[in-house]
Amino acid sequence: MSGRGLGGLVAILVVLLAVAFYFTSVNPALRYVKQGLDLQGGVQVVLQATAPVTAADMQKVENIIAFRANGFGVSSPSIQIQNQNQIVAQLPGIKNQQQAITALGQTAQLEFKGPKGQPILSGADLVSAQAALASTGGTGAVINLTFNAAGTKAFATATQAYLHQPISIFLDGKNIETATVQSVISNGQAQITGIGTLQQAQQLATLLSSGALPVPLKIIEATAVSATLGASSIHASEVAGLVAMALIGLFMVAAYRFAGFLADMALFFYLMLFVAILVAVGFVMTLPAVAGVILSAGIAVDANVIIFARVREELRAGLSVKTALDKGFRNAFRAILDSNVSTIIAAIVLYYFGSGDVRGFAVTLGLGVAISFVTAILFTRYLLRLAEDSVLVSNLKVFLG
Amino acid sequence: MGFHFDFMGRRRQFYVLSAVILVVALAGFFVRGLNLGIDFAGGIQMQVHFQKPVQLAAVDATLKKDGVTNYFVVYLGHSTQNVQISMPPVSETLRATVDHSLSRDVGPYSITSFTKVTGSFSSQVVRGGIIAVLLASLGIILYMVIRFDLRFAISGIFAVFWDAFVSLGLVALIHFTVNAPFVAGVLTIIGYSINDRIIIFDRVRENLKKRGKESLAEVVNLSLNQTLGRSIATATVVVMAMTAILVLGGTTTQDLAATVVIGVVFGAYSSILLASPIWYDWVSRVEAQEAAAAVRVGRAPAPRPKLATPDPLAEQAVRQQTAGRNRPRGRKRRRRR
Repeated sequence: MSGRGLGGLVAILVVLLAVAFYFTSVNPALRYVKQGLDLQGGVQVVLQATAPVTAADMQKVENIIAFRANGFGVSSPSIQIQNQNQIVAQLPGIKNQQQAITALGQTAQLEFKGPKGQPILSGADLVSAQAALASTGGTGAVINLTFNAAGTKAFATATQAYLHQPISIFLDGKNIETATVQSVISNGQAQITGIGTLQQAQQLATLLSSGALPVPLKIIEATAVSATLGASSIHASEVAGLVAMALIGLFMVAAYRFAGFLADMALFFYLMLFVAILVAVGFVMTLPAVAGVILSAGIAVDANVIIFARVREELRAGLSVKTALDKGFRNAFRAILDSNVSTIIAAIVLYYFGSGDVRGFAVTLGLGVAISFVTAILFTRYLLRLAEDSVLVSNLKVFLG
Repeated sequence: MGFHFDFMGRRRQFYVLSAVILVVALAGFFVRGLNLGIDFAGGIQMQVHFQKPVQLAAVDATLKKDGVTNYFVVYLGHSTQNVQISMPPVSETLRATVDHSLSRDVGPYSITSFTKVTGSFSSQVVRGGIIAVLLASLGIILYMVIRFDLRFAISGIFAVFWDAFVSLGLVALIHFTVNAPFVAGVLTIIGYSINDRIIIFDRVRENLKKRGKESLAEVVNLSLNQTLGRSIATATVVVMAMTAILVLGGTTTQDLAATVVIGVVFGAYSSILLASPIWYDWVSRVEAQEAAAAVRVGRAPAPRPKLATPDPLAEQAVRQQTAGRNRPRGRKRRRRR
């Protein structure tokens, strides 16, 4: 009998509790988990092109939608192309939700206006806008504009009328550029000069050339969740998670006594490791993803249930505690490996073929099972060895059986 | 060992029970049908919070007056201030009109959640879901063929499809609304159910290797009784966890949680009472044919076919972990009944 193992167990328990206290009360770790729209509130809109589009067209559409999204002034809008002809726009924490949905679905308006706001031509008349470095003598970068026939005519008339006066360019009603007319331009080729850097010029050129949407868009899905609903969802899933973990923990202690308690410690370690990894990779937490976390916790516990059932059998067959532990783990390993791998296969397929919400669930399920494979086998095994090594050794049989 | 149940002896009764359950479930699925939520059926769903309690009739009248058809209005929870309005995917203009007349005629309100899904998007979600389910099953079958053999894989996956259909049918019978997370729920069932099968088949495989004079039925019965404790414990754990989500986790994940609870219960049932009997009947028939063939040509029965391959990967991994700790005792083979 030695107290070495017992000391180790107590030390691990103290460290786990201290870390848990720190990350729940002092510096809540959950604060660092990014929240999805369903948790923090916000708007998600899926727009689909109503006619066949090329990848370049979609790139333009993406730029326009991103420009509009930035216009709402939310912290981190996300705009993504999906299925070749769809755009998913997410605006977390946005206040005026209905207005945002309507605005995102609009057809973009690019307009050239005279000094007093007189309309000159629209984005439909612009053929291309290309950024270039200023030629010798000039500074910074320029944008070369090319108009179609109607645009060329309108622009020639306008530059004559507003010579030495400013002409402004508006995108969705927002003034993005004002330039002074230097000369009458009748060849349909205009140049905006004096732009700071080539990069700025490129950004502006993209906006200008994508000004007219290459293809009409239709809202095929729109979701808005108010911040209040999001907050109550966070609360609900925290309560559900805590209750689920408490139930699992109590069940394990009831079914496997001291070994169940060790499994609970491993589960605890698993959860902390899981949250740490989710924070580290910047995973965006959604409600279905919470369900994935809880389900994988169930699978983590399953691994320990399988192991304990095996160890119990070996103890009943009359093996010593030490041998029973080793044999039980060895016999359980293969079953756990096979079952976990098949769950991970399901999660991977789900990730590749599922959409939005389902993907979040797939990530937490797959990742959770992978982490649990480590904690439920290695960590629990280590704890059981310490227990076996400690003064509790003579009682381990009772605890497991 | 105290408890021992002759599962194989009663397998015909269980086949009948499984068939009855399946028929009820299929009737539920085809007669009653799934209660498809907005993600699958398409449309607009708004949850609104009125500043003062309102009458549903007033909301109803306003929608009718504005020319909305096929709408559906219910109170959300116990409060008469929270109302959920469902309607077909109407134009933005009509929706703006409804917005306006609701606040004018019924009372000022704020929108707590708003979802609009068009038909094309919902069919995309369904198609993606079906593809995901089929591919996941295929991947798992392949894995089982590699790790076990074809008979285990087919018996297992047959029972997995039984689980999936039974769960779908019961969800249709209970008739709670299903949305996109439901697809995740069905996949979870498939993953769990495979999981469950593997644990039991792993034990059958192991006991076959140690098999002495016992009959095949005895081997399967022994394996099922050995894993019964684990099956019950694990199903209990997952059901408890998912029930917590079902009751406390809010509306978004309710359909997922309820589906998983149903699937886990029937998954545990079918692992023990459907997958194993199917495997048993298949393999015992093969063994009987081989024995008969051996008698015909007048020689002793051929050595039993190796039904399971040893598992060098797992053995090696564990050996590495336990290296140096159990060398003296670990080698000793114990034979038990």
